[in-house]
Amino acid sequence: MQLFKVFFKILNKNKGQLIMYTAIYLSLTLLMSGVMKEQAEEEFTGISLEIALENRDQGELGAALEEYLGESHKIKEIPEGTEALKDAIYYGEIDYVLVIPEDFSEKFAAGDRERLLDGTAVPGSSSSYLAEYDMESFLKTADMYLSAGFEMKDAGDFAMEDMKEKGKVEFLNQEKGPSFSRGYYFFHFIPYVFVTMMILGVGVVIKTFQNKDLSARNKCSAVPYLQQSLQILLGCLVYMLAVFAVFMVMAGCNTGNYLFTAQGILSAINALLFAVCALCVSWFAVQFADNTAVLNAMSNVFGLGFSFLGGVFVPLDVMGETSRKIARFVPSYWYVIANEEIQKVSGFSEAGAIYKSYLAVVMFSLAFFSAGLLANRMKMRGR
Amino acid sequence: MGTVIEIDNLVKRYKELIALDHLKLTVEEGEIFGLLGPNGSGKTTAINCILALLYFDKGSVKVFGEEIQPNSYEIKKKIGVVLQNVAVFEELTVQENIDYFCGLYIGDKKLRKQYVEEATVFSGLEDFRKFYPKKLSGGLLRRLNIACGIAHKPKLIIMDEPTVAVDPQSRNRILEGIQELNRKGATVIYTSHYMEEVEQICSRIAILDKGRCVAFGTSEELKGMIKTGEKIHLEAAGLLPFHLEEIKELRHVYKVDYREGMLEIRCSGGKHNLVHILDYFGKREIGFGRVYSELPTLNDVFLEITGKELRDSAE
Ligand SMILES: Nc1ncnc2c1ncn2[C@@H]1O[C@H](COP(=O)(O)OP(=O)(O)OP(=O)(O)O)[C@@H](O)[C@H]1O
Ligand SMILES: [Mg+2]
Repeated sequence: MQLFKVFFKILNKNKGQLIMYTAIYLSLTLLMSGVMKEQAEEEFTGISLEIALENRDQGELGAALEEYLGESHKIKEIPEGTEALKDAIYYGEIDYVLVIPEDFSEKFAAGDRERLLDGTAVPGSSSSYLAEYDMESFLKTADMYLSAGFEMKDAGDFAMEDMKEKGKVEFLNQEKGPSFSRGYYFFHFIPYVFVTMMILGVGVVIKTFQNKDLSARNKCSAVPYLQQSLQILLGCLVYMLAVFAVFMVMAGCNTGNYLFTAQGILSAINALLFAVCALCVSWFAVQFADNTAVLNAMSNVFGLGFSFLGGVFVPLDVMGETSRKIARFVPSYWYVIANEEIQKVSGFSEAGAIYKSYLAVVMFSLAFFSAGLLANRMKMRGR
Repeated sequence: MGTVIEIDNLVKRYKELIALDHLKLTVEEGEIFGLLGPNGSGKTTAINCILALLYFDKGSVKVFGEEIQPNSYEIKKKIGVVLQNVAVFEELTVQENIDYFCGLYIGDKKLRKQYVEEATVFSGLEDFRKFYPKKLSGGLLRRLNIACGIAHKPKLIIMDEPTVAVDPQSRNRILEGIQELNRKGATVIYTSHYMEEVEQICSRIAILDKGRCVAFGTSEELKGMIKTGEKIHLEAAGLLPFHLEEIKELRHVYKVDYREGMLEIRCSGGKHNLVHILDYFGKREIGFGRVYSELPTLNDVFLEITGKELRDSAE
């Protein structure tokens, strides 16, 4: 097992670079998945504020506004006395204070909008703009109905309905998109990481073994050529599984029990198949790299290229028709498709479309492996 | 004593170029066999054929009595290889490199450890065990290349220009090492374009030119094959063409060259050549400076057979 051992000694010599890349990618992946998830959650649930409200309005609009705000926020009474109010604000029990004046409905109907509502945002509470935004939208809609000739009461009711409707549409849109599982985001960037890690890791070792003088020297030895090749192949597989395992552990840490759900298992299989594919890509790429600089360039060409073309960095929805057609010819596209599909299923029996994407990735692996073999033969014959 | 290598009518072509042209050689057990030839004469090609690294067009190569094939692993076990280009792992230390190559032949860990240690000491690399090849000087790197080739104590050692670009001190060490290996029972094939080292250590020599073996035998035998028995050099100013004619008429003298005040006279064997020549200079009352006489070298052998200087084409 001399070659197998040397395989890891060479990797070990290059471990600095590999660890650096792993760390960068891991933190990027974690960061991205964290950020994107939070954003998605924020949009979805919205933010619920604590609003202290006193409605002195005699008309219907004030009541409607109060009801509307109550839908998405928590309405409280304004504490009695300035001291109590100050305390409530100080302890963060209240985000926004609103007093609806007595003649609110009247003035609104008359078109007198100047300084109509006297709301006070709590200083330092960044979310309080939301309350103002909500009020604004509501009043605008109500105004629309009023101008259209509706009664004040109906205008308030319709406005409220409209606003609820709008919230629902947003909600539906987002659920259709694959935005909500932490697992999705974690796995989304794996094509870039794996391709780069394979080319930089396995590539360096294979390049060494394919060095003209070393390979001639190895051929002179008493270890059969087939056995030498198998030892190197075994090294590649072990390295690939190690990289995969590291990322699965990270996935486990990052996504909680996601990995133990059907979706998680499908994601893991997707990643494993892609790791195999990335290995084959690196085998192919190394045939054209005679030195480390070229190898580094290769890792960028394939890592970034696959990611941009395949929809890792640019969402597939955003890509044009032509780009999507081209994307079919890179394995990462099928990986991304599978990753999206996985979010829509709840069990293995529904996973037909996913298996199709798996198959595509496997085919790409075979293609890259064979192409690498061919290039290798040609290179050897050239010697 | 058996025959270790038998090469018969070996032909190797690279497209148009005939690198080996019906080469015929035998290497006997226990000898240090020298393959001498200028750059491009086919030494490395011949070695690569012996090691089954190359397919050849015609002829046969037998090693230890068997036709060698890429999968002749039993034969390969007995061969130690030092290729012309240094082949070591940049990522491994001196010690790890020797261990790796030794391990390609020796499975037993304890034995291997002992062999690696012996090879390290043998090559004088004790102080550099933990060094990476990049940190070694050219001579040390060559020694590491040799250590990697011979650590498993092979019966047959094939070395392709192991001393190329090595300073004289390192070179002598390497040559002594090769002789020591030979004394311990190894048969050695040694290629070089330095005739001095081939002459110094090889029991028999084959001279290659353009893929053909142009002369073959011990160093003495080779020198016996040529006309030149002695070369006399003489420093003299202002010699005239008729002087040269007269010198050429002297006994045993067959070739006279006069260039930049230096006279070179080649004599075919015979004794007292120098005396006759000095007599002539006395008679003619010509003054002369330095005088020295030389026995022929392998370069003269090469020169006479091929009409080319081995040295000039080699260096
Ligand atoms: N792979 C190759 N393709 C084409 N021609 C080659 C190849 N290898 C060697 N040759 C040619 O074959 C001839 C013999 O080369 P070889 O390397 O055997 O010479 P050599 O005696 O070892 O020379 P050197 O002293 O420079 O090592 C040379 O003319 C060389 O140019
Ligand atoms: Mg050579």
